[in-house]
Order: sequence, then C-alpha cells, then structure tokens
Amino acid sequence: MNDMQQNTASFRDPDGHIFSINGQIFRQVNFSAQEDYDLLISSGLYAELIDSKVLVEHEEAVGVTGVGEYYKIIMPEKIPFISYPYEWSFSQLKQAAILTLKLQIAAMARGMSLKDASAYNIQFIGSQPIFIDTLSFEKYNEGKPWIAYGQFVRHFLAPLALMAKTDARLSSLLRCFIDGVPVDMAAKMLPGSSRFNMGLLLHLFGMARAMGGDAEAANSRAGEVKVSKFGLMATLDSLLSTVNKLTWEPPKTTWSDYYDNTNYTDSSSAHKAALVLAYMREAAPHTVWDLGANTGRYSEIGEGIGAQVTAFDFDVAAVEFMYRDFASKENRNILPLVMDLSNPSPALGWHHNERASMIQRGPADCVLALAIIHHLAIANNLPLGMIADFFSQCGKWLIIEFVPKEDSQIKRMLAAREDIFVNYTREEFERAFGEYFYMVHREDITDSCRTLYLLCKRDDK
Amino acid sequence: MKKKILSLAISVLILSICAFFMIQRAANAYIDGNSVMYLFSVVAASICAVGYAIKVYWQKILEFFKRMSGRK
Repeated sequence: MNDMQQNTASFRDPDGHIFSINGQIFRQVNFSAQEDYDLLISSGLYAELIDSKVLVEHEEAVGVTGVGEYYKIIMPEKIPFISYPYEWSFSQLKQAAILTLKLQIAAMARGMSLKDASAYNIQFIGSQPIFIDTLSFEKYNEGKPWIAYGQFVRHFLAPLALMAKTDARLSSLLRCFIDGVPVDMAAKMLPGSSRFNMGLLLHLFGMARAMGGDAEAANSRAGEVKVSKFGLMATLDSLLSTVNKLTWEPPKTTWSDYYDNTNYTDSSSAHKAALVLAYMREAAPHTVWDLGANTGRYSEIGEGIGAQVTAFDFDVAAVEFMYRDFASKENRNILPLVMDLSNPSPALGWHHNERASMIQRGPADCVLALAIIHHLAIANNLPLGMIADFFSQCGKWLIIEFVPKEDSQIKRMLAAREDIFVNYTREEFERAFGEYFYMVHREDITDSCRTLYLLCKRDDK
Repeated sequence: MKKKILSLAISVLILSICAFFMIQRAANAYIDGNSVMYLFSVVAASICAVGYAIKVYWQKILEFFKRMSGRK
C-alpha cells in the first residue's frame, strides 16, 4: 500500500517538494532543477559537504513514483526531531547562521550559490547543525548579487542582534514573523550603541533605511547593476565577521543553576538517577522527550541507553548552557530546545500547516517529567487532569516525579500566595493520571518526600 | 608626514575606483521584484569590498614581513 503524504511545509519551491511514504522521507527533483542538481553532484560540492557532515546525505530512490513529471526522487537521511528557529537558543541560531554563510562560501568556490537563506533549512542532529534543503543550490551567475542576502538578515542577523543586545527571549519574534524579523522593526528595537557595530550599521540599519527608499527609482535601475564575485565574497566575509562578533553571556537564572539549589542530598540525587535509569531501561525507548530538562542531567541517561533525546526547557539561559555543554562534547543524540510547556509551539504558517506544533512532532516513546508537575499545577494553575491529558499525547511511557506540598520548593512557591490547590495531593495525582496511564512502578525517592512513577499509556487513550 | 597622508589618499582613491568598477553595467538584465533590496545588496557589496581588499592586502603585507623576519 503506497501511503504517500505531501509535506505541508514544502510547497513554495517550484523545483521540487518533500513527501513521505510510510514514514520514509523523499524529495522530488523537478526537471526545472535538473541542471542545478547535476551541477551540485558533478562539481564535487555535494561530496565535500557530506564529508564535512554539514549537508543531509541522500540516496537516489528506485521504484518510488512522484507527482507529475519529474527528474529524480531522492531519499534524504531522516532528521530525528524537526525543530524551528524560535525554539533555538542564541548559540544554536548563531551556529545555524555561520553554517549558512560557510555553505554559501563553499558553494561559490565551486560555481554555485544558495538561492535562499531560510533558517528553516537548518536542522540539528543533537548539537550539530545540518543543512537539509538539497535543492537550495543553484548555478552561480557572475554579476548577480546574493539573492538570499535580505532573507539572511531577517532570519539570522536581526534576531541574533536582538538576542545579543536587547533580550535573548526575543528569539520568540521568529514565531510571529515566519519569514524572519522585519529589519525596520529590529532597527527600532536595538539600542543606539548597536550603530557603532560596523556590520550591524551596514547590513541591518543600512538595509532598514534602504527599505524605506524610493521603490520606483530602484525598479528602473535594479537590472542595470551587477556585483562582482569579489564584492560578493566581501559581503559574505563581512556577514560572517558580524555574526561571529555577536555574543550573549546568559545570566545565572534560577533555572540554569537549579541543581545547585534543590533540596536533594547526594544520596537522594543518586537514588533518583538510578530509578530513572531503571525505568528507562524497562521502557526501552528510541526517542525521549525530557520536559523541563534544565541542564540536561537526566537527558544524558536517555542518551546512555541509546535513545535520541529532545530536551525542552522554557528558560533561554538553561537551554543556552545545555547547548554549549553538549556542543563542546560534539553530542549528536541530545537536542536542547526552548519550549514553554504552558504555551508550547503551535502549528504556524499557511493554512496552519507550514510549521508543526510540538505535539504534532511526537509522540516520543518515553517522556521524562521530573520535578515539573508542581510548576505546571501550582505556578500555572493547570488542573492535574489536563496535565495528564497533555503528557499522554506527548508519549507512550511516562517517567514522572510527584512533588508533594510538604516539599520545600512548593512551600517557597506558596509562601506569598493563597493555597487554592486543595486537589494537589498524591491521591488526586494518581487518580488523574490513572485515567490516561496505568501504573507500572512507584517508588519514593530516598531522603526526600518525592515519588517517582513509571506509567504507561492506556490503549484507549 | 605629508608623504603618509598622500599615500593614504592614493590608497583610498584606488580602492574607491576598484569599488566603482565592481558595479558594472549590463544590458537586458533581469529586473528583480524586490528592486530596493537588489540595489542595496550592490551598495553593501561595494562597501564591503573596500574593507575586504584592505584586509586581504594587510594579510599579504604581514605575511611578507613574517617571511622577511624568518629569513634573518
């Protein structure tokens, strides 16, 4: 049975599109892209990029039928988890920007060029960025400017500058503006001192000013001028230097040094880790979602048993620290992402179908929800039944830590507010989660009042 | 001092001429829909080219002196 599904995000490029058959991803290469695709292979660019592990590898598919008339069907390597720029930390977006520029430089050295510079063309395998759009490479025509220059500034330079110089949480603007942050808006939001950065002055403030220029006059002159290869290389060098100089040092937030401030003793911490490992081995997952991962300590347990882990946390500083740590180890199995569980990434774009919601990108085989239930139930006033429902949509197995009201963390949370959470009890927790899961194991964590559960989703849910 | 100023002025003039010639005229060229961005990318490339040329030549000068000091 040929169960072909068109990828709902792949419709803008007339040169081809993505589809899947029984979970396997395919890319159709149309005849309009034949020359460029052949040049990508024959120029040696494809082999060079595959050798350096920066382009997704593919095989030419045999016996697969596409749509209409086409040149080839290729079968790219599957990405473990599709993430979006508004879910990345500062360093992830910066690495994605650097990779895009380096790809353009490498392409130009072999007579090719990137026809777009969309941040959505980059994905992460663990901490390693990789370019996924094989059909973005086209033949470089001497004299033509880099057509993706404006898109690069909107998708990378503007959000990076805002994160570095205004507030790191402004990466969430990419969720509102699917084709990148408008440069005029970024120029207004950046502090005045940003104008002393020559790269930003030219590529961002200059572009913002130019965009307000006379379009009629520009129309009449646009076709008359050309850019030399030297000028293009100079632009790329300048952009690379500007991006490299943008830095952000995350502050020590409550969450980024969470483990140093918990009330766990060494023995309770060791017991919790041992239980997580034992539960994880029993679930034997291929994919794990660590919700509220913080610095990723427990994500590493999932990785240790061979799973691909997506480590979510709402705190940009915690995710930044996590990414830096995993990137320094060249980790290819844990992907840290910024995600506020009380307001997770929705479906976005044309027809609500271009970018999938968090839930649509699941379910995972196993969900880790350690020391997070009280933040959702008490800090966000979410009823336990609704939390259980959400977790049941995230994955089949659930390793969850219940934190009772006697815990010092909750006492601190309730110190300055009225305790309206009469239903927040262990019994009510077990009842609410029992509607969606059956209990496999339950064990109290040594030297603490917390309990760790291994739950499995009911077949009818 | 005067020699230095003159030398600097000549360098800037040469680089400006280089940048000027990087923008060539072409007949029957494709007119891009986003013409403002097209023209801006041309201007940005010209400005970057000046800095890039200085960077490239400065590196060559440094390499020359490194080689010279290596011979000694």
